[in-house]
Amino acid sequence: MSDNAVKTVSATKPRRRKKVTHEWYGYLFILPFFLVYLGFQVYPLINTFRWSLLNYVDRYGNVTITFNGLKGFADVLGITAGEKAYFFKYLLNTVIMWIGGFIPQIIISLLIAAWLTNTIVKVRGQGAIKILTYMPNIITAASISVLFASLFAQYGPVTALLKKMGVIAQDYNFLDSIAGTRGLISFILFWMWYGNTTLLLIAGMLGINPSLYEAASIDGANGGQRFFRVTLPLLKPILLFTLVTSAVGGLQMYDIPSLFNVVGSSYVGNPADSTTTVTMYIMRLYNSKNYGKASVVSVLLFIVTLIVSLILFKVMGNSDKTKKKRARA
Amino acid sequence: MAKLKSGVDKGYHAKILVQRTAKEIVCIILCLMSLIPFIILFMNATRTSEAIKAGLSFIPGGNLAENWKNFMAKQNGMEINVFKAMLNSLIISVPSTICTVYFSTLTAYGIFVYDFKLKKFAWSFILAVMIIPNTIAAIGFYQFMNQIGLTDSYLALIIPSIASPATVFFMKQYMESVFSKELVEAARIDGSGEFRTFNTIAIPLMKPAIATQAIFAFVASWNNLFMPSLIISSESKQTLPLFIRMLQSDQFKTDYGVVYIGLTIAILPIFVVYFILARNIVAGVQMGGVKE
Amino acid sequence: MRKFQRIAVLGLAAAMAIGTAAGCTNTSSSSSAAASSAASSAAASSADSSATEDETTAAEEPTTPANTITGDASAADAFVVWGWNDDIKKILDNVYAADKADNYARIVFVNSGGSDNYQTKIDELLKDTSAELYPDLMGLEIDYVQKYVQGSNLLSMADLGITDDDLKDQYEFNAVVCSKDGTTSAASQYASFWQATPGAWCLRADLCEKYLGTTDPAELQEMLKDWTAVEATAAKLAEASNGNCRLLSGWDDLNRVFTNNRKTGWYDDNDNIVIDDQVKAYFEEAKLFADKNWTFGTTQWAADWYTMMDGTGVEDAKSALAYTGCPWFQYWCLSGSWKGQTITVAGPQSFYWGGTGLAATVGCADKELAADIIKYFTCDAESMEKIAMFNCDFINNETANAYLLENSETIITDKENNLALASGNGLMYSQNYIKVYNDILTGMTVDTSVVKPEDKQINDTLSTYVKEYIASGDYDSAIGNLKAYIHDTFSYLNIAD
Repeated sequence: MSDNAVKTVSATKPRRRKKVTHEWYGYLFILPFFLVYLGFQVYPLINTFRWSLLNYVDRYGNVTITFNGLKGFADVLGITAGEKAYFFKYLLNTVIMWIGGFIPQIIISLLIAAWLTNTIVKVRGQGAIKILTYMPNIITAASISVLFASLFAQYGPVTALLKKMGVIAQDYNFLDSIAGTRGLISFILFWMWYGNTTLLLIAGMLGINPSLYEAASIDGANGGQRFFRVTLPLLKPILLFTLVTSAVGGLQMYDIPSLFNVVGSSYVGNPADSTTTVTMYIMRLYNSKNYGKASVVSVLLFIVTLIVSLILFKVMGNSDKTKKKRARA
Repeated sequence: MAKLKSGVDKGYHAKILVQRTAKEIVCIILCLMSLIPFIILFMNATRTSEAIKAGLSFIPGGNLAENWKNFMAKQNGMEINVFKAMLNSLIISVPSTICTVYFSTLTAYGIFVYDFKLKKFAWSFILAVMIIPNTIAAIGFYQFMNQIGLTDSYLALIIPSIASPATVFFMKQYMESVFSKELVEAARIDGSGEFRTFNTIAIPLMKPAIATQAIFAFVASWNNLFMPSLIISSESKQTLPLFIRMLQSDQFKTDYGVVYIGLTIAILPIFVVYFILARNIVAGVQMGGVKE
Repeated sequence: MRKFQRIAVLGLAAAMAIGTAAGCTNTSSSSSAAASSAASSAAASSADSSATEDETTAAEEPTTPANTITGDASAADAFVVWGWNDDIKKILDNVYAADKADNYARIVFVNSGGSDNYQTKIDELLKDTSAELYPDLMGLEIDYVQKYVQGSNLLSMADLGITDDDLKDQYEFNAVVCSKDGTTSAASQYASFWQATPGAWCLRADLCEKYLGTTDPAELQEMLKDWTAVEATAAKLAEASNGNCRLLSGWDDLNRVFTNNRKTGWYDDNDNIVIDDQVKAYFEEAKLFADKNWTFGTTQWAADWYTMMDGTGVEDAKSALAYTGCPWFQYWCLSGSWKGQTITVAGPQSFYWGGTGLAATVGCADKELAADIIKYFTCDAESMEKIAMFNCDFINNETANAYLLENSETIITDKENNLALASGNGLMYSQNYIKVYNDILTGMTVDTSVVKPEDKQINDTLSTYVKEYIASGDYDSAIGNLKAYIHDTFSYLNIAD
C-alpha cells in the first residue's frame, strides 16, 4: 500500500518532481503512533474521567448507573462524613514502601557506580558485577514476589535461618509485622532496581570530562570532595531522571505488594491493610465492579503523578539554573 | 631521595590494594545477594516439603521428580498449565515487541527526517506523555475494550504497544547520532520510495538501538501482570505472570515443593536467556543512560 | 553487534522452541490445552528430562489427554460443568459414569484451579450464553452460592422439573442456603448440595494420648465442651509439650466455628452492616489464642498450616493437635499422619462448614441432563449412597444416611485396603464415622439463612481485621475498619451508627 501511494504521487506530478516536497510524509510516518495513542491512551483517559463522575452499582448482576458528580472524590478523600479516606491511606502505604526502597537504592548505586568508574582503584570483575546486580530487574516481578513471600514465610527457610542465627526472635513473623512486611517489599524493590540505577549512573559518570577531575585534583580536592563537588552536580540530569521514573513507577506499585502478603484475591495487603497500594485499591474496586470509584482513584492517581513529576522537574531544574547563574556571576 | 619515593609508592600501593579488596568484597556480597534467592529456589525445587521446612540447604535433594509430579497433578483438569502460560506470554510478547520497535522507529524517523507543520507539536506531545503510565487509564481502557469487544483478547494487549513514547524518544536520540537527512536525499535520487528508504536504509542503521529496545519491550510485556489481569478472563488465555499469581492460591500453596518447582519453571527460561544476552543487555541499559 | 543479533535470535528461537514443544503449536483453545497437558504429563513421567527430551516425547505422544478438561467443548451436544477443583469431576468419572455412560460422554468438565478467581471467571462467562465454555452446570460454595441464587443467572429446581418430593430428603440447613427467599421449596431453591457438612473438631489420637492422657472421645469432648474448657486444654497442652504441640495450627482455624454459627447475617434488611455477637466472640477468642501462644499462628490452607498436621509434637517437629473441619475436610485435607488416628468431636459449640452445591444456568443447553445430574448428586438416595461409598462423603440425604449408618460396618469404601465406611476411609481411630457425624448433625442448631451473597469477600478479609485487633488491642478500631472495608467493597451496604 505504501509503495502504491508513492507511485501515485510520482505519476500525477511528474513535472514538479524536483520541487515536490516529501515533508507531508512525516504525517504518514507518525500516523500509526498517534492513532493508537489517541485511541488506546487518550480516549481511555477521557473515559476514565467520565466514569469518575458516575456511580456504578452491581448487585448480583443488577446494574444501576447514576450520575454522582464529585461525590466519589469526596468519598475516597474522606471528605464525606462517615467515609474513610482510603486514597490517602493507600497513597501513604505506597509512598512509605517506595521511599524505603529508593533511598538505599540511590545510595548503593552511587557508591558502586563511583567504585566501578574509579580509574585509580580498579575493581576487578566489573562485567560480572554489572551482570549479576542487574539480573533481578528482568525476572518477572510476580515470581520474585511469590519467591520472597515463601522464603520469608513464618516457617520459611530464610526466616528459620535468621531465627537460628538469633537475628530475629523465635516467634517473630515478618508477615505479621507492619515494619517487617513493608521492609521486605521495600527491600525487594531496592534489590530489583539498584543494578539498573547503577548502570545508568556509571554511564553518566563515564560521560564526565576527565579534565574536570584533574582540575579538581590540582586544586587539592580529595576523593570525597571530587565526588560531591564534581561528580554529583554533573550527574544531576541522570539523578533527576532516576528520581522521576522511580517516583512515577513507585506510585503505580502493584506486582510485588499484590502478591506478597494478601489473602486470596482480596487485594488487601496484610498486616492491617498496611501494604495495600493505590493500584491494588483500583484493582480491588474493579474486581467488585465498582467502576465509578475505581475511576475516581485512577483520576486522583493521575493528578498526583502529574504533580510529583512537575515538582521534581521544577525543583531540580530551578536549582540547576541558580547554580548556572551563580557560576556566571 | 629515591628510597623515600619508593617508600611512598609502596604505602600508596598498599592503600589502593586494601581499598580494592574492601570494595571487591562488598561487590561480591552484592552479587551473592542477587544470586542466593534463586539458588535457594532451585535447590528447594528438588526437596520435599518437610525438608524445606526443616531449614536452608544448598545441597539438592532427591525429590525433583516427585515435586514435578505433584505440580502437574495440581494442574489436573485445568485449562492452563505453566507451559501453555509461557506460550501465551510469547504469543503476546513477540508481536508487542515487533510493534514497539518498528512503529517507534517509524515515528522517530517521521519526526527526524521530515519538516512538517505539526512536527514541533508532535515531538513536544511525545515528550509530555512519556511520563504518564498506562495503568492510570486502566478503567477507561477496560470499558473501551468492552465496547469494541476486545476484552479477553490478546489484541487489547498488543495494539497499544504501537504507541510507546519512551521508545520513540530513545529512537530519535539514537537516530540523531547515526543517521543524516542526506542519506534520504541520496536514496530519493536513486529513486527509492520514502517507505523503502526507511525499511532498507534507516532500519539497518538503527539495528543496535532496535536490538536494545526490543529486549526491554519484550521483558516489559513478558513480565506484565496488571494489564493482563484486567483484560484476560479466560483461563486458557492466562499469561505467565497470571499463572504465577495462581501459585499463591489455595490450590497450589499447600505444598512448598510445588510452589518452588512452579516458580523454577517460570523463572528458568528468562534466567538462561538473560545470561546468554547479559553483556549486551547491560550495554543497552548504559546506552539508554547516556542518551538521557 | 552482529554477534549480538545472532544470539538474540537464537535465544528467542530457543524460548519459542520450549514454548512450542510444550504447547504443541496447536493454538485452538481446548485441544491445545489437551496436547500441552499430555506433553507435560509425558515429560513428568521421564524424570529429570532435558528440554530436548521433552520435545521428542511431546512429538511422539500428542494423544491421551490425561490431565485436561474431559471432553470436547466444541461438540454440538457438549454439556459444560464448572468447578474450582476436581471434586465434582472425580464423582462424575467414578460414580456417575458407570450408571449414565451416554450422559457422561457429553460432559465437559472445567476446573478453574482454586476458588480465589472462580467467581471472576464464571461472571465473565455468564454474560454470553453462546460462549463455548459457558457453564451449563456449575459448582457453588457456601460463601458465594447466595450471590448467584439472588442474581438472575440460575434456574430454580422447579424450572428444571425437580419437585419438592425429590428434595424432601435434604437437610433443611442445606436447603435454606440455596433458597432465594429463605423458604424451602423446589421453586425457591436455585442450587442443591450433595454434601452435608456438620462442623466438628478433628483430634489426633497419638497426640491426645501423649499430652492429654486419653483417647476416649467422650472424655476429649468434655475437655472441649465449652470455651473455658477449650482454653484450659489449650493451656495444658502448650505447657505439657513445651509449646511443641498446640491445640490449633492457627487462630483462624476458629473462624468457621464462630462465623458459621452467627444468628444474623453481615447486614440487615435495611442494608445496614451488622456485627454478630459471634464475630465479636471470634475476635476475642482469636486474640486470646494468639496472646497465649496456643497456636502456631499459621494461615489456613497455607503450606505451614499443612505441615503442622504431620509433626510429632516434639522439638522441631511441631504439631497441632486439632483441626476444625467437617466430613469432607477429613478425607480431603487431613494428611497421612491422621490415618487411624482421627478422633472427631463436636467441640464447644455447634457450627456448620459448607459443602459444594450444583446449580444450572439460565442458558443451560440441556435442562434434562442438568436435572439428571443434580438429582443423581443431591436427591436420589441410591446414587448418593454410591457417592458416599466411593469417597466417604457425608451426604445431604437423611434416608441415605440412615441406610449407610445401619450398614456402615459392612460397606467397603476402600477396596484396595478393605476399609469399611465406618472407618471413614481408615482415618477414624475408634469411632464410627457415619455415626459421629449423624450425631453432631442431629444436635446442630445453626441458622443458614444468615448466609449472604457477599460472604466470600468478607470472610476472606476477616482475618486481616482480627490480626489488626490482635496487634493493636483496639476492638472498635478493627471493627470500624472491617465495616469500612465492607462498605467500600459493596457500596450498597451502609455503616449505621
